[in-house]
Amino acid sequence: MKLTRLFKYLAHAGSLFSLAWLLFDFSTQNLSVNPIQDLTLRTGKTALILLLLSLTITPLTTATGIRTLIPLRKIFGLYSAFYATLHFGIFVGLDYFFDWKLISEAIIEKPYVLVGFSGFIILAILAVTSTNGWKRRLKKRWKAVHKMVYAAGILVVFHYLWVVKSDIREPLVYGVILGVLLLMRLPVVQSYLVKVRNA
Amino acid sequence: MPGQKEKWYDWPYIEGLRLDEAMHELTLLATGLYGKELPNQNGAPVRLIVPWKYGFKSSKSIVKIELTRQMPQSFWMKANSKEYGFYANVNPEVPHPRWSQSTERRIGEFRRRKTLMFNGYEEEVGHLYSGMNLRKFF
Repeated sequence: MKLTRLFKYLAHAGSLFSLAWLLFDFSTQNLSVNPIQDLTLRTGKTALILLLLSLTITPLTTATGIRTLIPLRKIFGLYSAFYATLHFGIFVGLDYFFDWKLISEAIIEKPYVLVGFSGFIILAILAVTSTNGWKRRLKKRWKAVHKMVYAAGILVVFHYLWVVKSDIREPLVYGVILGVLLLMRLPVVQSYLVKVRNA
Repeated sequence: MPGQKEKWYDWPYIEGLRLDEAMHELTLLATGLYGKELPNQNGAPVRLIVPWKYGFKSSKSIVKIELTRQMPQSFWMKANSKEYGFYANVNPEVPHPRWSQSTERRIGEFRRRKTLMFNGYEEEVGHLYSGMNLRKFF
């Protein structure tokens, strides 16, 4: 279907926009006085937003019955994993310059690092097993494995909530969005959505 | 200050120093930067500089100075007293409850470096705090 293809292009373009913007700001020296912190924060936030977008597709499909958007779930999910990898890579490679002693100290003293790292590991597993080959190999277990995305969402929101200085309003907004998206997956809510749709 | 219109924090911004800290020769009231007039974003017209403390102690754009008998509650103490104390001396050995404060990156440098006690001014200001438990008075 043509429309699906259009949405796919838009999803790719939208997902890559954040990186393009970041590279633009980097090359024109428009990052903050602490550019590495800037890179970390912006890649992290993009990963979170894309993860929430990916989690929006299923409830949206349930509510509207329009199946055109379903392929976007995987696209957004993969880009989220991509930005999470950048975020992690910047933390380890740029911020701490592969100084494992410092990194392990940082992890012990900054528990939110561990929470974020757990979320990243889940996203990485989901990205690797997102191919058709892995779908075949895991058979019925594939779906169960990919339900871990909900855990990843919770970990990532918690990671963000834990890292802000005092003003938790922004991470809280993401938390509420995630909460709504997860609630919309409850069987009761789902059947209600279908009922409303068919009425 | 447009940012102070928002309600999350308890504005106005308040900071405090002990008299011996305020009178120390390293403590400055700055009106300029690099030989020029202090730009607004750096805290014009008058900005406090306390080089051995974390940056938030160096309040910008001061409008009032009061001498008080009792230790005032600073802005960040009111926002989160478990995480921000009155002293806020740079101390790599006392981590913030949620993160380490043992390393830093200086502006223009790429690699992290170890943070020094009292931001490198231990010789000059260490005596102000001798005998104090710096874990308690953070």
